[in-house]
Amino acid sequence: MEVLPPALRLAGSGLRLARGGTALGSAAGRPAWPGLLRHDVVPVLSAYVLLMAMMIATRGGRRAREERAAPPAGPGPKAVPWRALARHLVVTALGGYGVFLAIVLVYYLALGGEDARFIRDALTGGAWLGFGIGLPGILVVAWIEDRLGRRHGS
Amino acid sequence: MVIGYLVWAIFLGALFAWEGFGLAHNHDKWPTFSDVFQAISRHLVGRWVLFALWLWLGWHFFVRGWKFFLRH
Repeated sequence: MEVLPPALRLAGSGLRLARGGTALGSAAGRPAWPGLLRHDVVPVLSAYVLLMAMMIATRGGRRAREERAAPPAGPGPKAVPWRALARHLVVTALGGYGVFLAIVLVYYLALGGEDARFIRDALTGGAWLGFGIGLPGILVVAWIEDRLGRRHGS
Repeated sequence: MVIGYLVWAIFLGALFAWEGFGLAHNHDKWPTFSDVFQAISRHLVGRWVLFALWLWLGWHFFVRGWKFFLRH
């Protein structure tokens, strides 16, 4: 169960509870409720709230969204506005990395009690994944899509 | 350990069932995940949250604990 993050360990905590309540009361007689709350209840509750927020965000109906998202009909393929796309991606990646930073600091440092080295590895690893792989990857996919669109459009 | 995997299997099965039902019943009551992500992506903060979740997932499963040249 160590391979799972604190937010995904609910099943493991359930296992501990089923095995005689070691998560509820430790061998030393100390109540383990604070740990259970920090490591299991808060992350899972957060995931539940996020899921509910996502479902609420979809209110308004599928058809209305499809009508809004429908691109205006025009002749031939359009050229990709690379500058606008790059700006859009950089803003998304920077903001997303900020949210990722908040997740790591709140759930792994404040609630999980991880050390500074772990946090540093998380931040460098996240930066590498987001800006070294994710961002260029999306640009490459957009370029391939643009090339294919031009080839089929001409 | 087995109970943990069982819970995850049920959870993922429920997600697939939701998606399948949403695709099969094409009306507003059952939005598919693409509907949900499309709705969230319209907002800047929603895009940030989605990118952060993708980053966290990728970091957790593929980057965390690995060293240069995948040395552990």
